[in-house]
Parts: sequence; structure tokens; C-alpha cells
Amino acid sequence: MRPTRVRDAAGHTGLGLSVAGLEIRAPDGRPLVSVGALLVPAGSSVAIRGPSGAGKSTLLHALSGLVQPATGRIFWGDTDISRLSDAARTRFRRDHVGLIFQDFLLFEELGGLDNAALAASFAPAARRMDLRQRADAWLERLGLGQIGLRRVDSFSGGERQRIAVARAMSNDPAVILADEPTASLDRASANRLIDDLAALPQEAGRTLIAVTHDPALVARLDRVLTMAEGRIVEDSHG
Amino acid sequence: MDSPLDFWAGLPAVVQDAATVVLLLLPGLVTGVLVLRGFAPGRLVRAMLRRFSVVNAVFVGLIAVSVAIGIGLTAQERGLRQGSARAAAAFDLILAAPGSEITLMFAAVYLQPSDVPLLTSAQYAEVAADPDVAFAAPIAFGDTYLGAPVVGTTAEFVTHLAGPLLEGQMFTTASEAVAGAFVPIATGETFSPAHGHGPAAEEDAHHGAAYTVTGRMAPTGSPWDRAILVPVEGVWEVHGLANGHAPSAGNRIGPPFDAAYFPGTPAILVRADALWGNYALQSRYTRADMMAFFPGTVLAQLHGLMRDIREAMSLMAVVTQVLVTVSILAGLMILTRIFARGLALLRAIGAGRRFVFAVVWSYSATLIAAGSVIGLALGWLAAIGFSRVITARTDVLVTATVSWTEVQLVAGFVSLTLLLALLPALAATRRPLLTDLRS
Amino acid sequence: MRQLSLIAALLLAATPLAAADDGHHHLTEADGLRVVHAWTPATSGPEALIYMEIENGSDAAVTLTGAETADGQRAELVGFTYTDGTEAWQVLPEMPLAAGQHLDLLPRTLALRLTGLATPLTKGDKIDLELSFSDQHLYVHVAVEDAGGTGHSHAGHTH
Repeated sequence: MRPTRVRDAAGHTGLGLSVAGLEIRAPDGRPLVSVGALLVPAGSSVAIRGPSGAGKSTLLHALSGLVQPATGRIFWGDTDISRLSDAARTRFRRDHVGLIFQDFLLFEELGGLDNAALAASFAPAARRMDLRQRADAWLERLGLGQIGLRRVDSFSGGERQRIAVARAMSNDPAVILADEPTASLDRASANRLIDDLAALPQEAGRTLIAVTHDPALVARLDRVLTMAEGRIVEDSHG
Repeated sequence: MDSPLDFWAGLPAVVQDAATVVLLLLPGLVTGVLVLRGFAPGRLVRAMLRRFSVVNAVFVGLIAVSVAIGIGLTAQERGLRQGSARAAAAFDLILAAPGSEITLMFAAVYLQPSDVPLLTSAQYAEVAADPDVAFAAPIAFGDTYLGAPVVGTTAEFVTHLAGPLLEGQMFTTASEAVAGAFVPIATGETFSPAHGHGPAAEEDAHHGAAYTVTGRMAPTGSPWDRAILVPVEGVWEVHGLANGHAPSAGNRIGPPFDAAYFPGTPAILVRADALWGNYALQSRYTRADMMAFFPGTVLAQLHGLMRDIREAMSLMAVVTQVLVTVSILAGLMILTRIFARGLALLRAIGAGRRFVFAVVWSYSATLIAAGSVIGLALGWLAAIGFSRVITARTDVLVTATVSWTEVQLVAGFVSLTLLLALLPALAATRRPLLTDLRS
Repeated sequence: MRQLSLIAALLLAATPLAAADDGHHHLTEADGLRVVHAWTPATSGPEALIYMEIENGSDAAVTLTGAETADGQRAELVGFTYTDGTEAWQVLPEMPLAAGQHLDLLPRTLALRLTGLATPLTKGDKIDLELSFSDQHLYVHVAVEDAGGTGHSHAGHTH
């Protein structure tokens, strides 16, 4: 079950993506996304852009296993998540995926560290300490080390999104999936976040896929996929 | 000791009671252990509690009040039952002219004003001379002083009722008196009794007659704490009657009385020394011209009647508790919709449905447990409050305490509602993930 | 007349084994000792409280010490107590009954307590009970009445 990770020279691990014959339909049967073939090597970064309604987020949800495709295969390493049960896909996300959302999705009543280490509350007991330590280390690295205990409602948008990044990184994911991560931020905050995000694949061999309209983020990633009407219409390397 | 039932019957009562509480809590506790196994949802639950602190406080308050009503009701009923029984404990057997036992019990034991026919001198003489009677004291009620009953009796009865005096001396002449523990009259003070009681009391009827208080009784936890006890001779003299003794006897008071000079008494307190004595005397003096009754029996009958009412009220209280809880759980179902996005996020970042279930259940369980514990405390406080009111109004010392019965009632309630709390938890796991995530 | 006296004498000689019985099974009399209206409420548990009216019409004092059922179960005399609002029965090893006295066994007052009943008593049943008075024995039929009953269904009649 545990996917084979690609190990690079530095010992970092990542998971490559392989999509084939993917069809995602709305509950009423209307086609939403159709991707014939897509390969993303482990350790690379991809931006997905396109007009709204093009199916970018739906594709991202399918890659994270939140949406089950009608047909096709989605391999992360050697695991076909389209064949997994709902519970197994959830476990796959817990163990290998870091998710970042446009509007952060933090618990306002929790402190910064408790939000970043949220996964510790449902992780197996043996991994809880690790998770909290990693979350703490990521907050430190993202410049929030001193304020991890402050309640989230006192943080700025940029700080919030960095807490969300620390949360996404707390399980040491092989894959990071981000949905418009800079859209809710001012320019300065967005630029700082882009620096942080762009460093992720490079340093640890993680695979990063980000849906974004932000040219600054697009410019920093290895590859750009452009979608329109549910299809990938352009695939260019940065 | 061979069967489990025998083993159970052989356990001390406190162990049985505690074990019953544990058994009642067990379904809820087992549910909790199963639901929470492997998870640490504490921080999230605290976040949920903080998020809607006002609504949560209202829910906890509703549960607490409904639990408190049940607790207060049963604790109060028991306190009243025990208090009234203790107040009557000194009254072994009462003899009186035929009539209502309840009326006479209220008059002679609880000193509630009442006009009753008198026993004659011949009847009193017969009882006093009965070889099985160890002690026969007239109880002559009817007079008052500033609302305090003035009761004529014997020194022996005063000691029987309250033990050694708290202060001063026992009355030794017909114009001396011993005050109950809480009568607002000082030792050495002199007072003139009124005939009758309440607004109809004739303040001047006994004009000129006066008693001097020589001592004070220890508290008895009964209406006698607010009564003034005088020699029965005094009561007779105040009413212009013979004083129970031949004129040649001079000023002596107390038994034996001379039947020829005995004007009558509304009641006689009788007790025997032999274990069987009181029961034999009860049969012996239950006859056409006299009645004999145990206040304990009359009280037990009254309490038996009260118990039926209490059971009906307890049932209503339980139904109310369950209804309140069901409405609160329905409220929680609505509230979890507001949490839906947070719960969807948990699922998105890899939490299983069972974890979401555990979070929502723990949240409900915390409200239920907090409400129940506060309810137990509130019920106890309410029982104490009501007890004070009843004690102040009746002078029957009522001490309401929360006993195992109440703890068991709450334990059963907690278990039942913890099981019911599985429903909103289940509903929370059945929500559409992606829709909630985007909402 | 002579014959009647003879029968009476025989009957007296045969007591207590064949005490006079009124045929209604709620009055028993022997040697001036008279028991009427023996009854007990229907039970669900192993314990029964038996009530009755006893009159000592003889010219000697007797002492009630207890009773026994036809199948050998002991019944003890118990007196009601109400301490701290808790109902209980205390065992009375004996109860003297002077000549001419009566003794009423009444609910929440005085009773004969039968423990260890194998089967519950239901209304309409009868228990045969042998009362022990000093050296005398008196056989009575105890009627089983309603569980919540307060008296013998014939109480109030005069016998």
C-alpha cells in the first residue's frame, strides 16, 4: 500500500504523478474534466492556470482523492488512488499529501501551533510528537516561531497562510497540492509565500502542484499547464 | 455465597450503591472509550466549545436545570420524610379520645393547633396504673404565648423529649416553665399565656396567670423547639380547674395524679419498657372509648402516599430531562452544520470519519457531562434551600442531602444521553465533504 | 342433649388438632383463644406479612411465640418501626396476652412474617398456619388478599 518513493541524491523523497484516461463528471453526468495523459516527475513543480470554470480545482481535488473520477487512473508513485476506498484515500492524504487552500481554513479558536499541528489530533499516537515538532519547526522556519501559541484571530492574512503551509508540511508530505494559495494575500505577503512554496520541491524532492492565477507564482514553478473547458490546452516548461 | 446474587446481597450497602453507579455509567463510559480510542480530540473540542460559548452555556444550563429538578425533588422528599420521622421519634404511642389519628398526630406531635376531645380522669388513671406502662405523660395543648404553643406535661416528658436541659432548671412548681430551644424568651422572664392560638387567641382569658421560665431545652429538630413546656397542673389551674392533686397535697406537681382531681387531657404519651410492650398497649387501648396509635405508623402511611406522588413526579422529571436532552441534541445537529467546514477540512487533511464522529460526540458529551454535574450541584443547593424554608415554616428540622439515589439517577441519565449523542455525531460524518469544504 | 355434650367434650379433647372452625375459614377458636380475619397481601417476593385479630377469651394468660406453615416454614412475630423515615420490622420473640385481652396484627403495626416463600402468593390462595401460644397450638387459614389490600375481605363482620 505504501507507495514507492523516489529517493534523490540528497536522500529526499517524493512521489511522481501519472494520470491516464481521466474523466470527471458532475453528479448530473456533465463532463467537468478530461485528461488523456499527464506525467509529473517526483520533485518537480507544476502550475495549473486557466479561466474560471476551466476545471482546475476539480482536477486538483481529483489528484488529492477528494473527488472520485468516473473513469481513468491516478497514480501517485505506484498507488492508484482512483481504485482506493474513501477511507484509504483519506489515509493516503494523511500520510502523503499536504493541502493548501485559498482561504487558509484555520480554526479561529486554536493557537497557531495547534492549527499547524492539527493532524496530531487524529494521527496514530506514535506519530503525534513528530507531527507537533515538525509543525513547530515549520512555523519557526516560516518566521512564526515566537507566536505559535497566539490565537489565530490575531494573525494577518499572510501569517495565516504560512500557518496553513506549516499545517500542510507537518506530515512531511511527498505531494503538496495548493489551490490559489496567494489569491487572498496582499502582494508583499504573496511574494514571501511564493519564496517559501518554491523552495519546497527543490530542497526535499517534494512534488508541488498549484492552481493559481498569480503570474509571480507561475514564474517560479518548473512547468505550467493551461486548462480550458476541462482540458489541458497548453503544457509549457518554465 | 454461591450464586452471584448472593454475592451481591453480601456486599456492604455502600459498595452496592457505588457499584450501581458504575454499572449505570458503564454504557456511557464504554461508548466514550470506543469512540475516542486512538484519538486526541481535546483541543478541537475545546475550540468548538469556545466558538459558541453562549449557546453552549445555554445548553449546559438547560441540562443542569432539568437534572436539578429531578435531584431536588427526590432529595427534598427524602429529607422531609426523614425530618418528620425524626421529629416524631420520641412519641412511642399516643392515646387519645377516639377521632382522627392524623389530626391528633399533627396536634400532639407537631403542635399544629386543633381542638380535640379530652380523655377522662378514669381513663388516665387506668393507663397510668397499667403494669406494662413504664411511662405515661399527659400532653395538654391549646394555650399559646406570642404564637409559641404552651403545652402542659410532666418533667419526665421534658427529659424524654429533649434530654438534659441546655440551661437552667426543670420546672418545680405549677407556675414555672421550660422553653424550647428556639423560643425567643429568656430564662427568668415571666409571661402570661393566651387561650387558643392565632388571631382568635384570647390574650386576656388567663389574665393574672403567669409562668416564669426556669430552663431551656436542647434542640430536638421538631416544632417543640418553639414551644414552652409547663407542668400540666399549671394549664389546669390557668383554666380554673382542679390541678390533678387533692388540696391537701399542697403545691406538689407531677405524677401520680389523683383521679378525683384530674380534669382531663387531650392526649397521653405512653411507652413500655418491654420490646413487645408498645405493640401490646396499642391493641389494648384500641377500643370504643379510646384510640391508641403509633405516630410512626401514621407517618409511614402518609409518606407511603407521598411516595406514590413522588414517583409520578420523578417520572415527569425524567421525561422532562430526556425531552430537554433530545431538543439539545437536535440543536447540536444544527450547530454541527456551522462546524461543517472545519469538519470537512479535517477530512480533507486526512482525518477519518471516525475521528469526526469522535469530535462531535465528545463535544456533545462534554455539554451533557457538564450539565449533569452542575445539575447535581444545583439540585443539592435547591434541596438545601427548600429544606431551610420548610424548617423555618414548620420547625421540623429537614436536612436534604444528595444520596446515592440521586447520583444513580444522574448516572443513568448521563449514560442514556451519551448514547443518544451518537446520533448527531453520526449525522456529522454523513455530510458531503466537498460541498462543505467549499461553503 | 347428652349427645351434644359428648360431641363437645370430644371436640375439646381433640384440640388443638381439630380446632373448631366456622366453615368460612376465617374464624378459628380453641380453649377460648379466638383468631379472626387472618389475611396476607399477595406477594411477589419470598416474604409475606400475615395479619389477624387474636382474642384471649380464656381465663389464663398465653404467650404468642410465632407460627409455622403446614409445610414447616417458620413465621416470626415482628413489630413495625419507622426510624429516620425508613420502614422496618423488628423481631419480637414473644408477645404475652393476658386473659380477656385482644391483640391486633395490623399493617405497619404488628405481623407474623413468613420468609423463604418458594412461590408467590396470589389472591384467593389459602395458607394453613399453626400459631404457637405457650403450650397451645391454634390452626388458622390465612386468606391471600390483594397486594395493596388493607384488611381481610370479611373484616367488619362480627363472628
